[in-house]
Amino acid sequence: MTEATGRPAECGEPELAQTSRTEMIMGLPVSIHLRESAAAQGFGAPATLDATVASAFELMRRHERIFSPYLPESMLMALRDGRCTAASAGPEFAEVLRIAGRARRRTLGAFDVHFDGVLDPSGIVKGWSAERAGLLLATLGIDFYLNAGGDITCAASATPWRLGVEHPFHPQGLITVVALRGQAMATSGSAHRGAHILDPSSGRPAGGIRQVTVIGPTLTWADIWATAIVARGPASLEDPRDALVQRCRSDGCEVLAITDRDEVFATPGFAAYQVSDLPRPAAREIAGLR
Amino acid sequence: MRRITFTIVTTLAILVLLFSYRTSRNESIIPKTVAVGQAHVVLPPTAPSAVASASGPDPAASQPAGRVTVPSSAPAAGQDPTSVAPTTNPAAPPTSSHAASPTTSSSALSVTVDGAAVGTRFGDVQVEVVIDAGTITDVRALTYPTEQRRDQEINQIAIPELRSQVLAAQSANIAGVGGATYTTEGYISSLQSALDQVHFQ
Repeated sequence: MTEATGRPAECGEPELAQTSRTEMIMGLPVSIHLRESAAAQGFGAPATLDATVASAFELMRRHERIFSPYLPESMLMALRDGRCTAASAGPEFAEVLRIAGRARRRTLGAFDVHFDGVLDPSGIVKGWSAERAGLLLATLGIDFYLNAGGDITCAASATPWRLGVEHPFHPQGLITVVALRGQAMATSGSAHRGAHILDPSSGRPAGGIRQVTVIGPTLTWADIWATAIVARGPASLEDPRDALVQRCRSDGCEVLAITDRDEVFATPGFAAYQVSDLPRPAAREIAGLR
Repeated sequence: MRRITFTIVTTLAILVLLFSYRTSRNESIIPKTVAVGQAHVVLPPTAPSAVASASGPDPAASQPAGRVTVPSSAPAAGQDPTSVAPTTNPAAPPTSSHAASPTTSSSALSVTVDGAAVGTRFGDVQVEVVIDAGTITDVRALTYPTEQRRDQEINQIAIPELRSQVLAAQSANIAGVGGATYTTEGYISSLQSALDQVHFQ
């Protein structure tokens, strides 16, 4: 855990000016937001800051070139075509495959990067790559928040980052607002893309859960757990014998889930991240948590 | 010293909007909560043109009910001109005020600025942002793909939702929005470029 639990932001905290940059990477808008304090705390000249942000984007673009299922020259395509082996695909590939294996075991098969025997690690790469870019900024002490297509990681700074979670049934509104200090937040669901998560056990689109938001220590795992819970479906929320959310919590994650019937479920610890100055949705407890 | 900055990023359903917009101390817009079914939804105030009064040292504290609608064409009494973005960042004036807008950039209270036209797979997207006294009051899509019937259907829904989400995000005083992934890259990029013109170094 990077930082203590995210305390709700208080009203009237000092306003910090922000700047941001957005680039399209992996088909997603990726934005890096910096607060004024990043420069004020003596990080260096604005040019240095710019160069660091540029290097974070470049890192993600490098990952895109390795893992893209759309670029014919990507390492992933070479691997699929048998032009290289996993062993010779480089350290990033090895790391992602290692995470993929662990994800399948940890989620009891709910998360799987193979479909019909074809390797597609996209479900891991986005979160993992954004996390790595965030680590690059964090190790340099920059007060940043990074948003990769709605998945978020941020610096563990004194002032929390206030972030909204989109409402799956009302895209013009927010289901809740959270305050994060060093945590990551990933959201998976079917709100906008239609069902894009497949249930590995049936090979059919997962149904029953509209949107899952997971806040946890790392974006890679927040993303994996959010996807796994959507894939598993309502049993993960309502069936006390289903251990998925319990396992997710043991990784230090908290969950907010909205079903197709507009029911809201949450782990008890999720409320600690929600800001106190805005109303919170009434949430049912997830069954089977100890 | 008062400063205004904001940052915007979007993603949506065709829309998910990630967004941040900060005025130094003059945001007193309270998000309205509406019960929809069992869920709470944080929505923007009903009148999108409502802006926080910037009079006094701390309007949020001294004027809890100080939500006024500033006529976009005239300076309002009591407005603190230093709280308005263009005067704090003279190096980056809006480079394109929309001619049809009743606003004048010289008033420094209301600014209408066009984003760059951004090419997407489906066609160009260009938006225009209206900023009143440091608050985004409107986002209009000037150009968006309409060639295909499907584009029209999607954009009839997407454009108003993107607009609403910009306003909602602002009213909740947040730095961004997380959500399921789908991108309106053109909208995002054009919006970003519009805001860059006004506020970014």
